[in-house]
Amino acid sequence: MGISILPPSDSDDDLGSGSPGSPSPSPHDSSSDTSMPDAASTSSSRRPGAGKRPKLSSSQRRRNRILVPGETITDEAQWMRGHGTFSAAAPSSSHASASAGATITATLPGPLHTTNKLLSITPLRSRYHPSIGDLVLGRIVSVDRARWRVDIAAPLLAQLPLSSINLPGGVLRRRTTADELQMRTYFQEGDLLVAEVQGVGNSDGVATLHTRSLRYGKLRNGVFVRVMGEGRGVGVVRGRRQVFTVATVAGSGSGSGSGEVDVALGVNGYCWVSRHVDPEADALEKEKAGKAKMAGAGSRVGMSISNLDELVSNEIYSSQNDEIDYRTRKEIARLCTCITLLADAALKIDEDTVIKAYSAAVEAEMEMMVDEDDEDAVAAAAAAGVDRKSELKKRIVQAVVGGG
Amino acid sequence: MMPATSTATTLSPAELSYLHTSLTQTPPLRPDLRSSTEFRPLRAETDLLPTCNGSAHVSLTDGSEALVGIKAEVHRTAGANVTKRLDEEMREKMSLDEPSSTISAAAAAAGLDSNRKPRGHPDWISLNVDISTLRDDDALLIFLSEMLREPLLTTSTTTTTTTTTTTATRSSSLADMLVINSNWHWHLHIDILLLSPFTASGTSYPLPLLSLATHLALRSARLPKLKSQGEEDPLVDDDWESSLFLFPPPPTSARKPESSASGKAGPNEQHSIPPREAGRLLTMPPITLLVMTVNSNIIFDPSHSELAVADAVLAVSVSFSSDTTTHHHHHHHAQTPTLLAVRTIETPARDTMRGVPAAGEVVEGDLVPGVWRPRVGGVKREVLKRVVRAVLGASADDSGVAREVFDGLEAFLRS
Repeated sequence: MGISILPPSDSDDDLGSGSPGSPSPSPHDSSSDTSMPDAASTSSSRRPGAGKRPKLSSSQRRRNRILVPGETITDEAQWMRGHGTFSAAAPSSSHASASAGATITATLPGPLHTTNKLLSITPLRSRYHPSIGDLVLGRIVSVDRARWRVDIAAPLLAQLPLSSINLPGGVLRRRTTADELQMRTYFQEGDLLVAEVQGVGNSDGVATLHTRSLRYGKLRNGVFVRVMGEGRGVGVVRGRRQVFTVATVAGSGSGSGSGEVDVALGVNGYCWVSRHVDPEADALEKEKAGKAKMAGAGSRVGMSISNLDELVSNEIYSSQNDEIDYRTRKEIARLCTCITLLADAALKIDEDTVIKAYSAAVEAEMEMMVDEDDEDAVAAAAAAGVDRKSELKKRIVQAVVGGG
Repeated sequence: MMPATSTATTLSPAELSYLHTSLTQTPPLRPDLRSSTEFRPLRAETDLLPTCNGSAHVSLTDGSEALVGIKAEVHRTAGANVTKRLDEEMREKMSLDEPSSTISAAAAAAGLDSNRKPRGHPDWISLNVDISTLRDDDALLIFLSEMLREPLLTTSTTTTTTTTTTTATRSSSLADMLVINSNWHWHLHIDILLLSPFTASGTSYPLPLLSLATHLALRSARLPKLKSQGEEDPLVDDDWESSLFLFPPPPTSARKPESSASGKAGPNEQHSIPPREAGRLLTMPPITLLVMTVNSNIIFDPSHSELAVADAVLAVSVSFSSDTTTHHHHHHHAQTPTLLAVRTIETPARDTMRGVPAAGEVVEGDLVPGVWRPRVGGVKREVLKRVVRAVLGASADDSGVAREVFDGLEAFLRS
């Protein structure tokens, strides 16, 4: 397999707008209760009956139009400026007329939202804006005094205080200076973790994270995928199940592994695809191993709900991967590709779409495998410049959009 | 605190370990499910900058883009007059049968043999890489531009065996092609702009992208046709339509594609190869491929994350040449790859954090499976040999990756 070099094309964009259920929704229409006049109908030619509702009069208010920063939205005084807009504060200058002072300009690129008289712009893409309770994935950037700095794709780095993590040896342990000195044994630079946003600073908007749950903590046994966070209502969906398990084809055969793959979708667009780990079964197994090891060294209490936490957290900060078989690895890679392609196609990413995309990808591979036996078909495909990935993307879009 | 440019972030030890183990499987399991010799698809366009002699824009799906512009200027060859005078003096003295060793040595040093075309000089090609966020004297820029410039200057000596004679033919280097006459030459300015999210200092990651972009730009570069002849001061034809390709497209056995390709630029004869002596090799600009090894696996076109776990990184420069001798009826214009250079590059896996084993700290040097250990670099001779074989092709049936890449480039240029 060599290299394929294609001329630049707009096929990627065509894919999105061409499909019947357009995957790029226009939030602009759905939430606005103010109808926008078409390009033809200016303020002078208002239809009767529509006059009660406020309307933007300028002729450039076209449907789905994307505003660019600096562009004048309106110069009528009746509108209020919202997010993503700017109005030059009209000082009490004599020469500035009232209308000039009310000029509202765009400061972000994106479609216009109107909510009654409030004008706002949702940017086409933006960084993640943390809010309390979000499940996010982050990467340690630096180790500071008694806290870590974490990159969560927000405008500012989040912080994870040492007091907000589970330490080995039980929840109710004091944080001593010794803990501060060995912070790198818990998290070091580059480590990935899953956490929850505990608070957002009022003045600066710095998010504070915590990992005080068995579901949170260091990530192992998998691959990191990064997709775009917010904007246009695409990317990872807030408020859906974000950590789920996908039963892959790796488990359907006679393979030793269960074939289950965990997917964690952070609201901030960071995703983690890893081998499925059942925490309780894992803990039991570990305990058994521990028991066998220290059989002669004395008795140990059995596992109960009171010490489950303790048993797990001894290993929770290691970065040692378990043994993962070839087929599971392949399915993990396939799921990663699916998530990336979903993001490329500007589709929502949640449990439902990921599973649909995955089954479409598996199906596509089966068909392509059949094709590959037929040498003529392969040659024809190569001659036509058909690129597998774009074909896969097309199928995934069809599966996701067509199904719902 | 602003997040550092998110590219500088390293992967976590758990990720590195997972990736490394995946790549050591047979066959290697890459994160995007490519085969080990498969390249990521590229988007390319050539001849897009109107004021350049040649230009190319190549982009990868991961957001890296390279824009290359080539500008040619006519420069006076430094010291040309002096050597000419020396040459004349020498001839006078030769006729007087007064051999002067000093003067003939000077003339030889100037490379001015009267019955041979003057040689080019490496300084006639200036190459400049620009990355918007980096300072001009950043080590990465200097590294990348030298890595790209060097193969352009080297020449490969190939021994061509024909039925009549066995001649060691020196394939012309790019600098030699820039000679107009003994006083004048073309000066090539190759300017490269790189837009990439992966430009952390010291990474060799953008190298193949830049190399392919430069190759395409050079292939699309055209020089105005000269009206002057011989030793006259250069006078060029204003008509851009009649300009000549710096690297003429290789002739195909089927004539049709070429004529259709030239239809846009003008009549066929404009594409004729500039006067060159027969038997000289027709070269193509070199390309540099990035190859990484993981244990005994060889992986081509590594993505940024794959490169982070490489045991060794190699930059392999390959040039292409085809024999233009036409007195044989069996035309084979297949481009034969010639190895120019293999360079080892320090692997980014050296500067990674060590993994933490589950069972607490272990004795230094002990290997725990599943725990990441920074690589120290180094490549075995046997693996190196296999890399070269994979690039150049081991046998006649196995064409090698370099050839595949060249065919891909060729298919793009013809389309």
